[in-house]
Amino acid sequence: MLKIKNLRASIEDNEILKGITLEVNPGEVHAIMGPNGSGKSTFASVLAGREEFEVTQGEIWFDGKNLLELDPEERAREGIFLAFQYPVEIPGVSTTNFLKTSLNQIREYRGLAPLDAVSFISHIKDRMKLVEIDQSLMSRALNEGFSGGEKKRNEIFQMAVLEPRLAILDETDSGLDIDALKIVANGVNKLKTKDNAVILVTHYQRLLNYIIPDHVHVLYQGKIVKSGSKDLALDLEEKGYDWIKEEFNATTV
Amino acid sequence: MNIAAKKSDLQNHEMLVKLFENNILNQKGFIRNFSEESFDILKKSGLPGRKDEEYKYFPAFRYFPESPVIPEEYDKSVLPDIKSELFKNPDAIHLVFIDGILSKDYSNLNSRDDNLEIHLMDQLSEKELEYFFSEHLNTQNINHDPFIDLNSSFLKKGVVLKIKKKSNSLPIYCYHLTSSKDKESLVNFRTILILEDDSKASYNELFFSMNNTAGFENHFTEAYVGKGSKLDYYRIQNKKGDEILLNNVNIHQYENSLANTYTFSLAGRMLRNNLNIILEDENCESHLYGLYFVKGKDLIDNHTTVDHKKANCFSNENYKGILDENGKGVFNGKIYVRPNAQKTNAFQSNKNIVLTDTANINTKPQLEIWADDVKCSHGATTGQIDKEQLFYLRTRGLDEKTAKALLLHAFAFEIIDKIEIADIKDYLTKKINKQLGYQFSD
Repeated sequence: MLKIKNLRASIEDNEILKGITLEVNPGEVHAIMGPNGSGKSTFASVLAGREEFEVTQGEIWFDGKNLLELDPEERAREGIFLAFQYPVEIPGVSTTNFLKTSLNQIREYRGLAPLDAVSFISHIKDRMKLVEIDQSLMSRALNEGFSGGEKKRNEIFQMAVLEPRLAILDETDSGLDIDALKIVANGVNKLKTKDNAVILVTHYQRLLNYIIPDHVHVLYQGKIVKSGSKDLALDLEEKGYDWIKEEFNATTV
Repeated sequence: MNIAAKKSDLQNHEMLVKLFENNILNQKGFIRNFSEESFDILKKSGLPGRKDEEYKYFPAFRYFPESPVIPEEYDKSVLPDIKSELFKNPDAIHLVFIDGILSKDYSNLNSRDDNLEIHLMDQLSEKELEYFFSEHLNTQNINHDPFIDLNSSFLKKGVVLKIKKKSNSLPIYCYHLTSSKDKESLVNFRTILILEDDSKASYNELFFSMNNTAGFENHFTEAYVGKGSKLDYYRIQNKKGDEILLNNVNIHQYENSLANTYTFSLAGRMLRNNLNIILEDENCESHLYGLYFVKGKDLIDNHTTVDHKKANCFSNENYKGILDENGKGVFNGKIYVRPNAQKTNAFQSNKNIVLTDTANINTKPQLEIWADDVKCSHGATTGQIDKEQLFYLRTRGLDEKTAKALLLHAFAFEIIDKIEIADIKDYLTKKINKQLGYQFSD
């Protein structure tokens, strides 16, 4: 589904990603872990098409399409969804209006007729239950005045509404208390099918107690320096990142 | 002798002086005196020149007619086109002026509203006119604008509207349309709006034009909002021609009165709004909302003043602008808090979005505070569309154009949302959404 080959990306001549290779298949959950500043969020942003980053080398293929040739909106319409680490507040734009516009532009791209008001509302209501979100959120302006936890839940709610093929969750667990974390994880698990995939970008192992990954990768200094099963995450939780850094530095020196 | 002081008299406007002299021959009594006095003041001050601070970004002098002509009749062929631009509200007063001249076709001058008096100035007797002017004349404004003197010098066309004590009038729609294609055309129009004590009115001024119109239009509206009265004053300006519109508005508020003013400038080759709110008494409240769209080569200049003369008044101003293509915008917001005006609350905000490298905005808050126990704040921002917001929307599948339209819609609708009159809100929502390329609804 997603094939990344030797991906290098920079911002203002500062290279952040230094050759990432990764393959994600339908039905899989991948966790990208790593210490602060290792390039995790950059990686998520580059997949979503953030223009501040310049891809200097490498390839990204998504369902046979060259992702690097697509604008952010085209990637979204192809089925990529990024849950932001810091969701943006947009005063004046109601969540309902925004989601309807979003959903219908995606449907149009896929050659589907726009949803009528009734189908839209019933779809929304169904998805709300999934992430245990309150109806009052719908009439509020998008993320405006939301708490950190509400914003993160709203991201997962949007994911539930848009039903992406590949969801990238960028530190969705940060800033969530344990109850909210469970709700978010529960929502992600319910959305999981054999046809879609999830990339979890996280600093801590905590979230992985609730969303069990098939593969865990450690990103350090812009490279995947170690990959393994879910047990790797437990090792990291126990030992921290220092041993990874030491291993990496030993091999590079 | 100070030669510099002479720079701005009327020596470059010989034909204007001639026009005045010819015009005054037909006047007598009060109007003649009033016009002559006004013209004397104008002769001393002159029209604002290129060095005039207040007109720094609005070079009216460059476009002022060289040999001005006052239109005596309008082009009747515009009538069919006008009809679609008028509001359909049947329970309202509609007054249609074309080049300053009343068009009887679409006006309902003889309203059934007993609470409202409507007088055309050229039909008032000299005594009646003198009464309205002497009763209400209040030109002691701190920012005295020479175009007001020009307006007074040619006093003839205009309307007096009076809402009687303790009454609600029907909504009033006053349309000002341009049909003239002559760039030498000079229209001076005067409106006096009187809300007697404890009355309520919504007064809507709509400035439209057809294509290929030209000329110089100099409007002056004076409103008196009596004790305990409420005025909602909407101005919508949508000028498609080349004409220049200069719009002076003075609103005098008396004890416990409330005035809400809304200024929507959708288009205009050269538009200048001087809005002055004068809080003459205590416990007045005033809201000033503005929204302007500047594109093409348009220039839209809003100068506002809130003059807090007495204690315990509240004023709140919120103006927003979207500047596109080669458009130029100006915002100047003055707040005066006089020594007597303790416990004043005065707030001002001006926010702008500039969409291109070639569009620009000059914004200047100007607060002068002589009292010590007051709360005042102001803020001005100028920026582009927020890149982070734009990216966020695009990652949700919205194309760039739609995402921008959605963000601009949100920006503009903070002001639109304040509109209390349904048909005006609908009208502006449609016009503005069209302008923004926004086609979605809640």
